[in-house]
Amino acid sequence: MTRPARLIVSVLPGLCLLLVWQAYAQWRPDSDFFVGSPRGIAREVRATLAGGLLLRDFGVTAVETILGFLAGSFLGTLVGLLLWASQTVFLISRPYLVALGSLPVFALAPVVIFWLGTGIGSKVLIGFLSTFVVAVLQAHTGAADADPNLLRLTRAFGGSRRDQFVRIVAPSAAIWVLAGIRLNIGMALLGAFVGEFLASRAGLGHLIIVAQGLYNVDQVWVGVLGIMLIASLFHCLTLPVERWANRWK
Amino acid sequence: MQSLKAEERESRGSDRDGNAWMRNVSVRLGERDMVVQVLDRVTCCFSCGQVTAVVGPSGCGKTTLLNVLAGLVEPQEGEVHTPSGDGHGRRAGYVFQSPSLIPWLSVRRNALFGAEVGRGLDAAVELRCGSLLNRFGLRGFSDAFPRALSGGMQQRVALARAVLAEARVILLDEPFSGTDYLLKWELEEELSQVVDEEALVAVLVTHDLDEAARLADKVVVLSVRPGRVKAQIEIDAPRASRLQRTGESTSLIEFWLQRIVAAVSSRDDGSDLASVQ
Repeated sequence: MTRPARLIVSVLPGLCLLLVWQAYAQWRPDSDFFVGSPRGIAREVRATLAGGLLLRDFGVTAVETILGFLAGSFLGTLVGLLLWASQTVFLISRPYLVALGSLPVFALAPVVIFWLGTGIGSKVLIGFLSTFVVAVLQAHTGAADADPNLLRLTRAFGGSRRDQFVRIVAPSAAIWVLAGIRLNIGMALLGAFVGEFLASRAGLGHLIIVAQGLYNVDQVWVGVLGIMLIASLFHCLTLPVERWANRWK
Repeated sequence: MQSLKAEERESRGSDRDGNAWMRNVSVRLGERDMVVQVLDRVTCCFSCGQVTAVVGPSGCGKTTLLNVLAGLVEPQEGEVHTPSGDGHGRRAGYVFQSPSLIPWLSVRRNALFGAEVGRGLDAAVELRCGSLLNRFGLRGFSDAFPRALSGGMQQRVALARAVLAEARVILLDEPFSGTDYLLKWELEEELSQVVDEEALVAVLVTHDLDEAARLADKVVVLSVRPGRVKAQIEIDAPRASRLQRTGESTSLIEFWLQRIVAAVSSRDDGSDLASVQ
């Protein structure tokens, strides 16, 4: 199947779903209140776009996700690498990392909001907390996974421990982190959303919560679609990065 | 601490002739109750411009001997000297049994790795890298990743990397065991030429006694563990005459092969009775 043909075919099921949905809404107008309708969603999109609210909420969630992801991945990688340098520190900190890593972000989110307020900062920190441990463990695994033969080789060729770290260990760790980039960006998005859901003034999570309060199902769907759009967008952005990181495999 | 000791040794040892040597070197590996004596009072000279083959039964410490020369293993007793040459500290071109290329670097970057780490890159070595890769049959592969190469090709990159490191010492741990015959001969010739051209100290660990008879100027025979020098055979027929693949060179190789085989299978002092039977 050619690429355009595949695209057309993959659009069809979604289109069918919308048509059936709309037909149902026409047939039973009273159901509109509970399940909404594509036409109602389109109306909501137009209305929120016109007021600039949709774009603002979309942008806020996207920015929170990116910042949380970058901070968590960067610092996590750094810490993971440092833990490679000292086995003792790693062993001491491992139970804490495992504890933090297995904690659902939902549990920490209220405290974070209590500390940082309902703005973007608290969402970034929640995103950071959800990605940090993954990045630490990925980086540490990658560093520990560095081929001992390559380390020996570097030394035989006259390289120092610094050379070993910079040329073998760090790339090996970075590759692991980059390879896990999609997982981590999903975690950051989840973190941002959870934060917005609990307390916020803007963002798609905020939009959904407000819509729920107003029994505006169509607007809830707008929020859901927005989240899906952000997730797909980041997915498309991470694909080339991931491909680049894995190009030698 | 260790590097200090190594420098001290280098300054004391004479660097004039560019040879490497070890005197009464003993190595014990392992920790606590699992200590194994691997090398026992090994004394040996590795002359520059010569290929010294090290043969012996598996587990006799051949690889450890290379690691001692590379500075990767510090012997508990004895003295080691390697020529440092250009003042870039102790370093050696090392070819492992497995190619051990860096998977995320291109073939070219891999080949240059030894030079980059050891003494830094310059235009000359980059130029040389291109011509060496061509000579080793890797034309057109310089931007490929190691994964795209066959095992034999990867091993050639590893050999190029060791040569391009431009160290005074090149250590080879069964480098040709994975390559086919024709290529093996070519690589042996290349290696032989490089050793001559640059007066390198080349130490070749091999299982293949035929290869030792073909390529070595001297063969050091180690006993079973703990490895001791059982015999040293100076092959006084020029390497070039044995690498020609003519009838004459075949009979030369045959002659030396027999002497090596005799030395390997001779019993020395009772400790390796098992290996003789």
